[in-house]
Amino acid sequence: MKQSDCESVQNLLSLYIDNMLSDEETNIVREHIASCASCREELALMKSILEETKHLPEIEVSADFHKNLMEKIKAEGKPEKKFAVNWKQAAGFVAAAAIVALSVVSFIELDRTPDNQNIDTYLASPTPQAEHIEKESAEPNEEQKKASEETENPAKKTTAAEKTVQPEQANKTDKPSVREDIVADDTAGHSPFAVARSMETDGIAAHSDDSNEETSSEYGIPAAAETQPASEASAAPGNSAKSVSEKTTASEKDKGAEAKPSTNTKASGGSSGGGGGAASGGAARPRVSTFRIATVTVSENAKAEAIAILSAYAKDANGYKVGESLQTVLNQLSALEGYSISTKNANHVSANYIVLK
Amino acid sequence: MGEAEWIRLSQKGDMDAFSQLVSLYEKRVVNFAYRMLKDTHEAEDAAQEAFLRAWKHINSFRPEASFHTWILSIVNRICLDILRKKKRTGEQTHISIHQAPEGEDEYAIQIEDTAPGPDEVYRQKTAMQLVEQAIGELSEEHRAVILMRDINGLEYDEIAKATGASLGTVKSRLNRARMALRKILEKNMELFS
Repeated sequence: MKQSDCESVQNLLSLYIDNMLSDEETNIVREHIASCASCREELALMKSILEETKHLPEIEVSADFHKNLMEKIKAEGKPEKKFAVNWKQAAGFVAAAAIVALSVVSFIELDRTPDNQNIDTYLASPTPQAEHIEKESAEPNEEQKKASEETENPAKKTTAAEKTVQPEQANKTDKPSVREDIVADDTAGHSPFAVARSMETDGIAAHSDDSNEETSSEYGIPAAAETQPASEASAAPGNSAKSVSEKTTASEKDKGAEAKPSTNTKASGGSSGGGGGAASGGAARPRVSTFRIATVTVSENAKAEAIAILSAYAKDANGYKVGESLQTVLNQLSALEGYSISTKNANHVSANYIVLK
Repeated sequence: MGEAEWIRLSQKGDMDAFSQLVSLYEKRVVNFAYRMLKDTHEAEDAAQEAFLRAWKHINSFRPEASFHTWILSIVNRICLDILRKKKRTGEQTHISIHQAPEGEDEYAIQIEDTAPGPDEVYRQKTAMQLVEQAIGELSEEHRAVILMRDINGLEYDEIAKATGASLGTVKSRLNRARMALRKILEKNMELFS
């Protein structure tokens, strides 16, 4: 019996005891402990420790605990109403509303309703898009006139689009990206939604146990919880926008067109027309989406822990289907010993995957 | 009248109903705080603060969620804040006195140090006391998940909600916590042998 096998299995014993392993992993553990006395002993020891833990002596609550508490509660008065004004939360919502408003304005400004004939060149590179914008600004239709009324000088935008080659640069110079802000801020826990969630209890600091963890408590202020799906949904285009921004080929910029139009326009000058075109042209234009397959390598010692992290996700022939949580899971895996990663785009899959080697 | 009804009435400002909820959960909350803070007075203060905050924000609580998980998440955050403040102020040593298990006459007194040294004194240690001691030596985050899972019986997804961590993080953290508990026990048992 290899020592590395025993170490890997012993790293899984905790989850095995709680029936939290996948069927495949459960079978691996069962088969191993059937033939390994050392690991059987380890399993028995862990079970006995947990059994003792369940029966630890409890301290008694002091006689005046309840009385003192109820006096404090009486002094506190009625509980806060469901929609009481919480100024920090309100500031967060105002910031979120401002971002949404900017998105709508930038979408209206950048949507030039391109011809279907021009859509391929429109999507191909920034330069054709700039040319296209120039053409359309030279012959404005009703929509464009309206859009141009909302902006001072369309030519300035054309100039800005021409100057910016990389989508992320266009993003930085033109309008703030909601998706990047939300994705980045959610990681740091400082987005409006994370702030609102942190106010679930008065004044409690939103201390994350690990600084890069997701905050997913459902016990936040109801409005914050309701907006959470919106932030998660818009984080998906943000992820694809990030992947788009990392690439330089025009065809890969197309793939950002799968994102929702309102947020897609903010991601890049290159893909924004695709998003706008998708909104206006709609059914006639084929959508190209690309997801990523990340191949992660960790040391033998860390493999069990990696499996434990990935076991929260479904596994199929392509690997672990992590979907929108790709970056979050990679952040967790990156803390493991021997971590290395290579990624590739994959057109044949319907979500982001991680393959563990 | 059950817990759901007490919660509903509490949300309308009924303090008597909330008093029922307190009676139902005060021992669990106080003991959770005691295991985290290792001090009975601090534990009761933290527990009172937790219930006070729960009362204040009772209208934020969704009925379909678990009150047990919610109140533990609140007291957990309070305890972690207290422990972090203590670290910043350099508070290192405390004494806790706890009653010996039922049937024994003596009180077992532990003189604990957060950085245990070779001159610690242990008397009449049972397996249960060794486990209790070992839990006290875990890091705060590890202690919290052990208390939630192994003492309070929360499911993994409930622990994730209570701590704001992802399910994957809870799995790996609980795994590491139990491995750490195992190693501390092994080390402490060697001190006796």
